[in-house]
Amino acid sequence: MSSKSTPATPEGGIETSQGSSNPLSRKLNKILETRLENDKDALEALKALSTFFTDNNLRSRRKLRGDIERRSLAISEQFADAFSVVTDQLDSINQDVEAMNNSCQDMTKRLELARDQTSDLINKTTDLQKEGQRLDMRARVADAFLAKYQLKPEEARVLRGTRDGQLQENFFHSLTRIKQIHNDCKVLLRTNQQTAGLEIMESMALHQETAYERLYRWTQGECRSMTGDSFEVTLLHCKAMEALQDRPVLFRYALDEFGTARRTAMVRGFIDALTRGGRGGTPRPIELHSHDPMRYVGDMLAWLHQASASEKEHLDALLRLASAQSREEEIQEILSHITEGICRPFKVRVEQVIVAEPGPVLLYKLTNIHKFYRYTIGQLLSKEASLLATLEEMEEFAQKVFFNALNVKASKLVDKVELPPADLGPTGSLTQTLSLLREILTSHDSSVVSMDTRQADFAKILGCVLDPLLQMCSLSASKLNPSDMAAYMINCLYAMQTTLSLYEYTDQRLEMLEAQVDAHVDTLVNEQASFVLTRVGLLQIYSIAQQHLTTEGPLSSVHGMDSSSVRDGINRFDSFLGSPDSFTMPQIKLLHSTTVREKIHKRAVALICSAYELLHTAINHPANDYTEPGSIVKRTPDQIKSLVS
Amino acid sequence: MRISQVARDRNLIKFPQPYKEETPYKERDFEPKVRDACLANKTGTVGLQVSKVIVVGDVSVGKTCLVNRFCHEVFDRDYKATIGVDFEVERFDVLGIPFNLQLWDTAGQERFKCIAAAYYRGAHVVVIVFDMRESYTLDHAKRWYQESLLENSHDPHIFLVGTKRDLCESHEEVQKVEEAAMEVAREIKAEYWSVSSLSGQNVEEFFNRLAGITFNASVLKALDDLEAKSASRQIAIAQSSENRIKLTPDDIDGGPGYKNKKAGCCN
Ligand SMILES: Nc1nc2c(ncn2[C@@H]2O[C@H](COP(=O)(O)OP(=O)(O)OP(=O)(O)O)[C@@H](O)[C@H]2O)c(=O)[nH]1
Ligand SMILES: [Mg+2]
Repeated sequence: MSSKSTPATPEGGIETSQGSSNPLSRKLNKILETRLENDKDALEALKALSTFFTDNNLRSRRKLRGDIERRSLAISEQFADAFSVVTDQLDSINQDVEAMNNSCQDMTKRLELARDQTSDLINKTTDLQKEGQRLDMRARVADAFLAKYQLKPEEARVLRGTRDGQLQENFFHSLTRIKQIHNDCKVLLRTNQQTAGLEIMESMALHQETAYERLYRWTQGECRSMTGDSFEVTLLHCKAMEALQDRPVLFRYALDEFGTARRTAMVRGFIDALTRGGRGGTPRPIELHSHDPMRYVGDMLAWLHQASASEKEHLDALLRLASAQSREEEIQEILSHITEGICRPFKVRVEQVIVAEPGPVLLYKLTNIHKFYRYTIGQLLSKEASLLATLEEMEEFAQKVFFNALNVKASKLVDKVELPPADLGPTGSLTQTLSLLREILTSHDSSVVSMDTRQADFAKILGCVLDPLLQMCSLSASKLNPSDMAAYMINCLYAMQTTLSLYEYTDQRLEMLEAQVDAHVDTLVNEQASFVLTRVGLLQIYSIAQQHLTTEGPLSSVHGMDSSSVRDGINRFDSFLGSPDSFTMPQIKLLHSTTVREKIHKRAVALICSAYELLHTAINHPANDYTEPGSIVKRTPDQIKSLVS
Repeated sequence: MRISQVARDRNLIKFPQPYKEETPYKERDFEPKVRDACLANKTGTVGLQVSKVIVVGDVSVGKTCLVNRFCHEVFDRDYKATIGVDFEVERFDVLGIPFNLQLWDTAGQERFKCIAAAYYRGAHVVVIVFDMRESYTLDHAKRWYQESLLENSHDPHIFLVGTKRDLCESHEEVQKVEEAAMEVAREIKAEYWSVSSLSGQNVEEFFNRLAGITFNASVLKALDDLEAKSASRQIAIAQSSENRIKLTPDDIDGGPGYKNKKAGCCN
C-alpha cells in the first residue's frame, strides 16, 4: 500500500528534478497528463485521507503535514510491532531448523557409522543367501535322488508286511522297486558316486533278502495249505512263484513244498474216492465195485488219469508266470513226485485183484487196460515217473499171471487127453479152449494198443494156446487108424482155422494149419481112392497092373488077371459110376469143412480115373494079350471122366 | 510149431558146397538154366518156390534141436519129446527169388509114428538124423529111409545127418562114425553131414546146402513143366507118379496084416 501512495507523496518532486530538460515542463506535463480517475493509488490515498482530514481550515492544513507524518509514524510503529512478532517467530523457527539440522547431521553421522559397521554383515548375508539357494538346490537333488534310490516308507512297510504274514498286492511292486534300485546303482557305480552306489546296493540287497525271505515264507505257507480237493491258484501265488525265480533255491523249495502238499492231497483224494466216493456219495465209492475186477481197476485207473491231469493243470497254473526259462522239466519232476504217493495204495489193490486169479480173459483185459492207461497217462507224465513204472509193473504182472494161467490151462490139455468122439469132431476141451481164445482175442479189439505190441501179443498168445492144442489133438489122434486120424485132425485143424480167421495177425498160423490140413487131405484122398477100388474089387487088379513090367510076359497070364476076372472087376466098377456118392468113405462124410470134402472128392475121383486109364491102357496093349479088349473095358477114360465129374 | 520171430535175410547167391566130396548130389552150382531164369525173372515165370522137408530119426537124436538151432538160433539142453509134428517155415531169398522151406520136425517116439507118417507124403527132402554117440540110431537110419519113401513115390533128396558132434571125444571117433555113416549114406543114396546143434557147427551150412539143392531142383522142374506144357499138351498121366494111388503091401494082399498094422503102430 505504501508503494501506491508513493507517487502521491511529496517526494514526487525529486522525480522531476531528476529527469527533464525542462524539469518544470516535464513536471507539469506529467501532472497534466495524470488522470487521477485512472490512478488507483491516488484514489486510495485520497480515500484514506478523507477518513481523518475532516475540516479543511488553515490550521488543519498546517497541521496536516504533521498529522500525516504522525500517522505514518504510528503506522510504521504498528508495522514494526507486528514485524517484531514475526521476527521472533522466525528466530524460533530458525532455531528449530538449526536444531533439526544438527540432529540430522548427527543422524547422518551415526547412519554412516552404522553403515560402515553393517556392510560386513550384509556381505555375509548375501553369501548366506547364495549358500541357502545352493543348499536348496542340493536338497531338491537329494530328494530326487532319494526318490529314485530309496524305498518310500510305504513301500518299505509293504515289504516288511503285516504281522499276520499276509502278503499285500503291492508287495511285488516294492520288490520290483528294490530290484530296479539295485539295478540303477550300477549307473552310480560308473559315476564318482561309487560309495553311495555300493551302500545303496548293499542296503537294497538287504531289503531284497528280507523280502525274498518273507515271500518264501508266505509261499511256503500257502503251498502247505494247498492240500484240499479244491483250492485255487491265485494271481498272487503265480506272482510269488514268478518273483521267486530269482532265488532258484527258494523257488525249488517252494515247488517241493507244493509237490509234497499235493502228493498228500492226491493220496487222500484217492482213498476218499475208493472208500467214500464223491461229495454226497456220487460218484459212488470205487471199492463198491471191488467184486468186479474190470470195473474196479478201470475206475481206479480212470481216477488216476483224471487226477494226474488236474495236478498237471495246477502246476501249469502255478508256474504260468514263472516263465523265465522252460519249466517243463521241473513240472515233470514235481508231477512225478506228486503222483508217486498214489503208487503204493494203487499197487496193493491191483495186486490183490490179480493174485485172486480172475481167469485168463479178465487177466488179459486187465493187462490191456493197464497198457492203455500207461499210454494215456504217459502223455501227461515223463517216462521216469514212478506212477508209470507202477502201471508198467502191474501190466507186466497181469500179463505174467495171464500167460501163467494160460499155460496152466494149456498144459492141462496135454496132461489129460480126451479120446476123439465117434463123430471125429473136435473134443470138448478143444472147443472150450478155442472159445477161450476167441474171448481173449476179441477183448483185444477193444483195447487201444499199438499195432506192433498187439502183433507180438497175438503171436505169443497163439503160441501159448495153439501149440498145446495141436499136441493135444496129435495125442488123442494117435490111437486112431490113418483115415480116422486124418479126418479127426482135419476137423480139429478146421476148428482152429475158423477161430483164427476172425482175427488179424493170424496169417502165418493159418498158413501152417493149412499145410497140416493138406497133409491129412493127401492121406484121405489116397484112402478114398483105394476104398473105391477095394469096394469094386479092382484094387488087386490095379496093383498088379501098376507093378507089371512088359518083360514079365503078357499081363493076361498073371494069376488073377485073366479076362474074366478083369471083366468082372470092370463091371463092378460100373456100380461106382452109377452112384459115386455111395462109395464115399464114412470118415470123409464126417468132415466139417465142405470145401475140404469137395476137394478130397475131386482129387480122389481124379486118382480113380487115372487108375482106370492105367487099366484101360494095359488091357488094350497088344503085348498083354487080352482077347477083345474092347469088350472088357467098354468105356474110354474120357467117358469115365465125364461120367463122374 | 513155432513162428519164426526173427526175420533174417537168408540170401543165397552162391551155391553151397557139400560136406564130403562123396555125395550123390553132384551139383556145385545152380543149373545155368535156373540161374538165367532167376536173374532174368522179369516175366514172373518162376514164382514163390516152396519145398517140404521132413526130419526123421530115432527118439532123442536131436531133430528138434537141429531145427531150432537153425530157425531160432537157440539150443535147449532139456529134452522135451516132440508130440506128433512141429512145423516151421524158414524164408529164403535165392537168386532174388523168394523161397520157403517148410520144415516138418516129426516125433521119434513109436506111438506117434502113425501121425508123423501122415506128414511124410510129398516131401521134397528127407533128413534122416542119427546120434553120433549112439551107433544103433545109425543102424535105424535105413528103416527111417524105407518108411519115409513108402509115402513118396517120386524121389526126394535124402540127407543123412549125424548130430551131437560136439560130444565126440576125439577126431578119431568122428572119423570112425563118419566112415560108418558114409557106408549107410552110400546105400541109401544120401548126402552125409556131421553137425552139432549145441555149438551150431555146420548147421547153417547144412541147411543152406539143402536149400540150394532143393531150390535148384524145384525151379528146374517148374521150368520143365512150363516147357512141356508149351511144346505139346502131352498127357502123361499114366507115367506121372504123382497120380498113382499109393499102395501098401497089405493093400495088395488085402490080408488082415494091414489092419493089424494100422491099429498096432500107434500103441
Ligand atoms: N551135446 C549135444 N546135445 C544135443 C545136441 N542135439 C540135441 N542134444 C540133446 O539131445 C536131447 C534130445 O534132443 P531133441 O532135439 O529134443 O531130440 P528129438 O530128436 O527131437 O527127440 P523126439 O522129439 O522125441 O523125437 C536134448 O536133451 C538135447 O539137449 C547136440 O548137437 N549136442
Ligand atoms: Mg523132437
